[in-house]
Amino acid sequence: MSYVIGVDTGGTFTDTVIVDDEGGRVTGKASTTPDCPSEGVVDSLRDGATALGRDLGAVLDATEVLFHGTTLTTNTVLERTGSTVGLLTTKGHGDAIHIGRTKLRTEGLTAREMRHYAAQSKPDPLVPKRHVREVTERSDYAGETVVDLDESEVREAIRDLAPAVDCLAVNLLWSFENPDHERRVAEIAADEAPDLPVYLSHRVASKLGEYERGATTAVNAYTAPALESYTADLVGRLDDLGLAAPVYVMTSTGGAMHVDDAHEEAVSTIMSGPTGGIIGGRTLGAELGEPNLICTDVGGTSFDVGLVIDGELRTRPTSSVQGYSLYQLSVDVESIGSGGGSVAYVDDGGALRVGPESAGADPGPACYGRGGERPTVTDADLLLGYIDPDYFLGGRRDLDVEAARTAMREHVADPLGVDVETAAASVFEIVNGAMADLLRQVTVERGHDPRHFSILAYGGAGPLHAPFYAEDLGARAVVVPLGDTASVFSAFGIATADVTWVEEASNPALAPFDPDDVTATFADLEDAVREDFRERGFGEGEVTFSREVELRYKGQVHQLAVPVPNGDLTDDDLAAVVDRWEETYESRYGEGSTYAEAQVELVNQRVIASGATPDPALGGETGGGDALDDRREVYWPDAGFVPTDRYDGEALAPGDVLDGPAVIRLPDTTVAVRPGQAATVDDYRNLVID
Amino acid sequence: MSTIPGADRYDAIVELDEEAVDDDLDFHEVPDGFEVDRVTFEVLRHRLGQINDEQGTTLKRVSGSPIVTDAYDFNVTIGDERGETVSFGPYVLFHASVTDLIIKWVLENRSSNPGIEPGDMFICNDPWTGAVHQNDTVVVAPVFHEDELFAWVSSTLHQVDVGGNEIGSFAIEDDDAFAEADPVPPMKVVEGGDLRADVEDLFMRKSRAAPLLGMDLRAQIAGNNVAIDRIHDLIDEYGAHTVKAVMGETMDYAEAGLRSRLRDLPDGVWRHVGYQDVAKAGDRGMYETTLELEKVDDRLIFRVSGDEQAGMINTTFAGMRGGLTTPVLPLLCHDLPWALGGIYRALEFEAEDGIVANATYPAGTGMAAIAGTWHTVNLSTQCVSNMLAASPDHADDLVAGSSGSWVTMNALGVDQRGDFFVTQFMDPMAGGWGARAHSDGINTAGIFAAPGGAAPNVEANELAFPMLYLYRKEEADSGGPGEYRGGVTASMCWVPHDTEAPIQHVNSAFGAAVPTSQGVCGGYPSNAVRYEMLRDSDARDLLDDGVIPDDRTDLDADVDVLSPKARTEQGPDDAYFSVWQGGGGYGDPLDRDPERVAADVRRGYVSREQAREVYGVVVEDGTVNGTATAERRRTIREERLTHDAFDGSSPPVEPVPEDAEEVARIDPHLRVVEADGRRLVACGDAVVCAASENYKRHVPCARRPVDEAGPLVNDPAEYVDVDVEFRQYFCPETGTLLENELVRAERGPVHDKELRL
Repeated sequence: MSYVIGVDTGGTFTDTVIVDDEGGRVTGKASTTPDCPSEGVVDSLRDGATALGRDLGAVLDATEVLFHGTTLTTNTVLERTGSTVGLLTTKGHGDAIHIGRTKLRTEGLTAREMRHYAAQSKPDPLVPKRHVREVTERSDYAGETVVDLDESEVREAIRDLAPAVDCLAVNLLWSFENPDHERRVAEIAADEAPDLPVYLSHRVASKLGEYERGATTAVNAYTAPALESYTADLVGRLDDLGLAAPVYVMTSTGGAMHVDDAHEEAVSTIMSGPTGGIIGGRTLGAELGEPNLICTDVGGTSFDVGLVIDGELRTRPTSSVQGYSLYQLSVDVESIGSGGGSVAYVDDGGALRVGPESAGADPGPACYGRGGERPTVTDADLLLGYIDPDYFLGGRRDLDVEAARTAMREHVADPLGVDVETAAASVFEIVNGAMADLLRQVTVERGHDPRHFSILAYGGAGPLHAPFYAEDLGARAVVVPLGDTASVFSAFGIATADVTWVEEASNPALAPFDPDDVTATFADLEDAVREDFRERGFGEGEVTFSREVELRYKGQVHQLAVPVPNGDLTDDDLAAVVDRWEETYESRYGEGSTYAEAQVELVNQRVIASGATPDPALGGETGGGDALDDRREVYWPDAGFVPTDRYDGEALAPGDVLDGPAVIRLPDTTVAVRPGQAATVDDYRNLVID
Repeated sequence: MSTIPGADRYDAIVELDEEAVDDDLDFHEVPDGFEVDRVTFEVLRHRLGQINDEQGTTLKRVSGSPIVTDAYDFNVTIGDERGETVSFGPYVLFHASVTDLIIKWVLENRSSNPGIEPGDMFICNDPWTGAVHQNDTVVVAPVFHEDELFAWVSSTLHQVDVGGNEIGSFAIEDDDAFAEADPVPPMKVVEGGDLRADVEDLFMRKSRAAPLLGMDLRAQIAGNNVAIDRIHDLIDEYGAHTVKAVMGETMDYAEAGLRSRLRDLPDGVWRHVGYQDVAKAGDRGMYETTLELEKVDDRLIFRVSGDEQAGMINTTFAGMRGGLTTPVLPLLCHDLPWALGGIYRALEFEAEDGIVANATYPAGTGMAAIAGTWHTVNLSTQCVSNMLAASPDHADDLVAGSSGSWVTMNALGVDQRGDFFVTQFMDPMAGGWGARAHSDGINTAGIFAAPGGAAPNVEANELAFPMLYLYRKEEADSGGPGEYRGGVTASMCWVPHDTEAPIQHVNSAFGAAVPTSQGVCGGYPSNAVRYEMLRDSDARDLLDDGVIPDDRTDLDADVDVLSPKARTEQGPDDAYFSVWQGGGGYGDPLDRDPERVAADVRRGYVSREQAREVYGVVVEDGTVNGTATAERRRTIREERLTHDAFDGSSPPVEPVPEDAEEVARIDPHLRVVEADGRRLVACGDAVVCAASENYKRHVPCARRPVDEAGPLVNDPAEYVDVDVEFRQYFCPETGTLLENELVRAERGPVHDKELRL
């Protein structure tokens, strides 16, 4: 028996899925340990091993590959807990990262936010002006040196900055055309401050555009030291426990990277947290024949939504974090700070508010009895009867109803002058409303008719809240995936990832292109990737390469990517590439939109390399037995507290149909079936509610 | 009325004359009593927005011009069967606000001959019919459902050059429209789905950048086609009546939302006087426009008057209406759909004929977007923001004057590949925005009229054009001081690189003689615009010696200060410099937290001198000297109270009667109180004047030279032969700075805030 493991660190819980080579799977769950996340990972793995009835060492020893999802880098930027970064850049251009092409004001705004000028701002700078040093050096558009690097100035700048910063980002103009000066800066830094990590823009994002390249490098520098020290700690612990298999970290591209690449690839893990669930959704959707999915994940701290349309992920060529534009391919996900741990409070104006502040993992909701005194969404769920206090996390944690009641009374009920149940019901409705708004924003407001989608609901609180936040959308069904895997579905999704490597380089040229030059650039990119894969233990035959070029008409700003054949390219090959580009262009922009008078310009070359890893199988499972557990009072909006059937989800079998109102208890989550709805168990033990 | 016989026929049409539309053209309309459920309304309202979005994205991606792809100098609209706008993109706002005029003109004048048929599109760049100026070419396209005219879509885009006497079609050396690119009234450019080669050639033949123009025209057609296809899909899916009903209800919703917001604000009149300097190359005049914004219940009335049309800085009615409406959208309608067809129902426009802001044919309007129209955006921003300042609930939505002008840099030359180029540099997108009532203005933020636009990367410009930037940097003291500071702007300086040929330039801007990003409620104006050509500089020698000059003052050169309307040539050793405008401030700089001033000094946003002079904050080694600051601030207040009133009399300091009751807020410093049946303007504990009077005539007033408004404010004498003043009005009791004013010296104080309770 061998295993594929996915382990996903969320804001509150760290989730594990262990899948064997026959498709059998178990789950594990443990509290996230924010101060030392690797502890939570090991706890969660151990919990999974326990479910298998085996010792963790034995499981790790039989593991072929371990995939890990982490929000470490994202949280590092959002909470501003990253490195103090020094930035060295070309003299005269030190403000580029603060000007941010003015996009620093608008990037990431919704259409509604874009209209409200008085509420806009730029973020606090990731690299404050006092940590930016301009150095004398200059290359031109062709990569020719105009002014030599002033090495003594560089030395002085590094000496000056080194005591004040944790690491150094270097972004020189035209470095992607001529990296010599950046390399020399790194050598000088190694000499002057050997312990100072250095990040070079031509290594992190070798593309034209000093602002985005610099921002990507700066964000990488801001997050990489934290990610590197974390993964070193994690791999060390797992090694000690007996893991010999490679460890891969989920990235925002929908693929994964080897832990050893964190130095230059940390930025690719930014905003990667929700990606696992969406690629898991794609896998499940393909199996079920459901091509359009709204993937919704309610975790402890956030609510994440992504779409699968026609079986495809939605990606964007760039990503952004806190207003900074990054050269980073990423799966499209929207998030708000609403989750089980979101804190409810009454604001100065007397209005009840829920989130975005979260009680997180520690102290967690009041009902955890770990010292949390403020009421959360989970406390409301408990007080309304949805959650069984004796069966939380499969009975691994007892919940303290009285603590939840006290918190709700003190912080919500008394200030509002209502009883505790009414207070809890109000918290429940507010959080559901906020989630419904986000769903509307990513579907209706982008022109996608939710009636053509099913909603996939996962994460610890997704299956409970989905029937409520989905209410007005009219989606085809709410699907709680894979029964007992629902609360750890992101971890399952992560385990379905392949190792991908995207290498890009700007190589501006006008058609007709020189086939030798284009081939040489591709060969360099591929050699670099091939070497990387070899170091990671992939054989030559296990890696697949695909090539793309991004072309545009001269003078355009936007490019369109088209595939390019592998191997040595000829004039004919490149002429065919241009023809294919024009066809693609015309199909995208309409007949007659191509323009024979204009020259075609090559901008970027890209190699996407993929190394297949063992995927978890989706085995059909059988269950069976007497699922009806008991009846208890549960609150339903519009109806109040009503005696409600409660089922043991683990005893449900394919083909079972449960009529609402009902509550289905799963080890790590609870499914609500509203009055008038029915839940059907399908062959994969998905619960389909409609 | 134009003096040219027959010209009035091309005037914009605000109200469609149904009788003038050909009888064979049938409009699609929703039957009475047809209803749409709320979910469908929400879905389709956003779907129309999404279609509009795709229309814009398509145009942007196909266009070849950085004017479009970076500065977002374009827009796309979807309108109903009569052209009333339901949706438009987050691009240049005033482009979206003119298409209804052109569509109505097409309906009245083209429905019989040559006819309006499915698959047709009409092109127009006539500013009197509706284009903002000749470069802003509009392509409108009917959408038919079965045999009925169902809707219109449009795309507008700034073509880099459409002909005429100067590069970029900015005919700064001439006197009227006959020297500019020909204004072309609506012509059928696409017929039954085919681009008409003859009409295309008419446009291409005139241009210095025909290939670019050809690509941009295709971008406009591609954008429209995408929208037409998607609207047909929507009709197939939901039915024509449903889609149309949603269009109508969206406009109704926007109208109702704006009217409700206006009812929340006090009735009154807000006025602003603004200037454009230099009407054409060689001119040394300054041209004034006054906006009087009256709010009555749930309506806004814009009354515009001013100097006679002059030179090439004018705008037509279409551009004026678009400019005045621009700030209304983000400041008053930020939470509403920007369905202009509904919003316009709450707005009224009254303008004198033949003035700079409402010119008659054949006045020069070829630069209107960055001249007369932009000018009306500034006027409207001031009046709307001052109106919001009167409302404790809505003051947080005001924004002081922002990016007060566009610093046009049109250039023509031979690039590093030996190819001819014509372009306009988009770096001035990095203008600063005005301060808010709750926070500083945004530094290097963008331009007000195009919220989504972006400045290009230096590398992108150096790849495309034969240039080497010495620097592009944020400029200290370019944001107007205030309790909240205006955002700073940036400047650029570059030399030709890898080209033999001299580069030809045409500059056009205003805001050099006086800044045009004004402050509100005591906030200072921003810096002023400045262009310099540093002739025969030693930049190349410095670079060869391993020195990068990072300020223009590091260069040894003959400094040629260029007029804001100038044509010039750049030789191989000439360095070209320009600085753009920051944002105006909010509130009295003496009320700014000294720690924030010190932080600004440390970050290079405010100089130490400015901190001391204007903010009264003494910063030493980056930290506040508290004692010296208190002393300095006291000195400034004392100086303020030494001034007489505007007419030379001593301002009386009468205490507010004890039994007076506050009736209304005028702004954060001024209020209307009632005592003994009299309504008075009060400031602090002092009565200023009767509520109907202009408070500025009754308070201490300092009349200063313009360049005392800031270290980056120019001496107007460099550019104009006009006597201009920088005036400051202070609270007679506390010395708080109430307002700043930049006006011609002969003009009396502008009664900027007058409540009519």
